[in-house]
Amino acid sequence: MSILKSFIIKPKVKFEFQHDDEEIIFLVRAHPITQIYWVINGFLMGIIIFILISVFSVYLTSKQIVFIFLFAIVFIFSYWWFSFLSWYFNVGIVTSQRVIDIDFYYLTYKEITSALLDNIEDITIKSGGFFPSIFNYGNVFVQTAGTKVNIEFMNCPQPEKIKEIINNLLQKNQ
Amino acid sequence: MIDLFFKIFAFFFSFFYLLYAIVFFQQSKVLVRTTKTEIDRWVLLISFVQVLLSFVLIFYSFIL
Repeated sequence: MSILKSFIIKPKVKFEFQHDDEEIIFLVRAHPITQIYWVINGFLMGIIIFILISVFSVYLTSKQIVFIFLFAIVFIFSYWWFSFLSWYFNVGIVTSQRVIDIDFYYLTYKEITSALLDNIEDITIKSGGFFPSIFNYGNVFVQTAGTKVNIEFMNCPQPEKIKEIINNLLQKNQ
Repeated sequence: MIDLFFKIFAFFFSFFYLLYAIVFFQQSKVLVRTTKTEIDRWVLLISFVQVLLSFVLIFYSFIL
């Protein structure tokens, strides 16, 4: 399932304000296992609504039960879709020229941070805990010179490989 | 009386869902414009289906 990939080298992706001569090296988003909570939440909501409908069905007409059932399905579907898009479009992109972090908060607030490779001073990875160790994911912090912004890729897969690729790019750029 | 309350609540919930679906659809356009991927068409289609579903809910709330 390519749609669930969270670390894609040379992806078939373009982003807003990409330069003509800018090549995307890789794209990264949070490891899919970190998103499992909203899948479970959706099922739990479904079970709770089903129990509530069963309990209160004696007070409701059949049309009202159908409406609640329909509304519950639509609501859970929307919740899943919202969560999926929040995951899918919150990406980190490393190109031949810069490192970019695209974040959407609640899908309504957009924050795009980018740093030229020349300005990168240090890359730190932090990974620890039960699930990160098993599924090999962690946080990558890209620190830039002076007071310029820092970039964070949270819960991304294969943090060591990401660090290695960025370091190689930095060496090529020097 | 309970039926009337249910109908009013059903209509309002459906109406608010319609507003949410419209905003969501507009934001989906922003998402696909920011990062162009292989699933852009599906993103817009499914987000638009939400708008259609909200009309179904509003319609159903009338015939309750």
